[in-house]
Amino acid sequence: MFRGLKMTRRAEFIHRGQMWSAVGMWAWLLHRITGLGLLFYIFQIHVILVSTLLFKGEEAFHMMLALLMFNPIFKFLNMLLLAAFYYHSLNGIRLLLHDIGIGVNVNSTKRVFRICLLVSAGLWVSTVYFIL
Amino acid sequence: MLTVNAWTWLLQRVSAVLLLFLVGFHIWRLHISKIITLNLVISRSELLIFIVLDLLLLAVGMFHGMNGLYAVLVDFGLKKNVATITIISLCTVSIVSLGVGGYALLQLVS
Repeated sequence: MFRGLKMTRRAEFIHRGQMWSAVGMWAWLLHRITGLGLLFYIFQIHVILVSTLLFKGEEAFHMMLALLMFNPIFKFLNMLLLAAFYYHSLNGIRLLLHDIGIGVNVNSTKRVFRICLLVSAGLWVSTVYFIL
Repeated sequence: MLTVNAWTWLLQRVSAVLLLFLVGFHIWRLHISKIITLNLVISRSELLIFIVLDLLLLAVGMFHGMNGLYAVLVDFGLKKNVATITIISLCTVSIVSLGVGGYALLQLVS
């Protein structure tokens, strides 16, 4: 009985190791985190903030805009937001491809995920270059 | 016939593809190609297509985000007896934010 328990724990440990050494698990976790971040930022802050600013008039709008666009902290957060958006969208494309059968086995999952990371990084760098 | 879960799965994919174009256009138009000012916002609101695109972006994005959040909650072990109230509150949040955004857009138009 004890031996059996030990074996299952060991099996579970190995199983978890295999699970987290797979690319899909990290991609999934990052997808979740960026998705939640985008949801809470964009819809609860971006929409509500900009909508209420539009009621307050030109001066308030431009003051808040200057804060959002030129304050270094907000600039950094904007870049982070953009990175989250690019990762989430490119990994989303990967998931759509996965659903129609492209990049399903282990090696091609890795390859497609690498391509997605590269493309999102390239898009991010070029956008940051344009904005700054 | 598709079940409710299959429908939301399909709609999540459809809204994802729509959002790729809508958010890409939104970021390109408002944050890259021009520096945003209130005058720019007002001048572009005279074209009906921008209003329609903004409302579509808000509605599709709200659905995609709230459906994603619901999937996360289910994965964390959402109990059956609180599923309905969760769905209702997620819908309420999205409808409120649609209302606020839509009202602001209507103020711009008029």
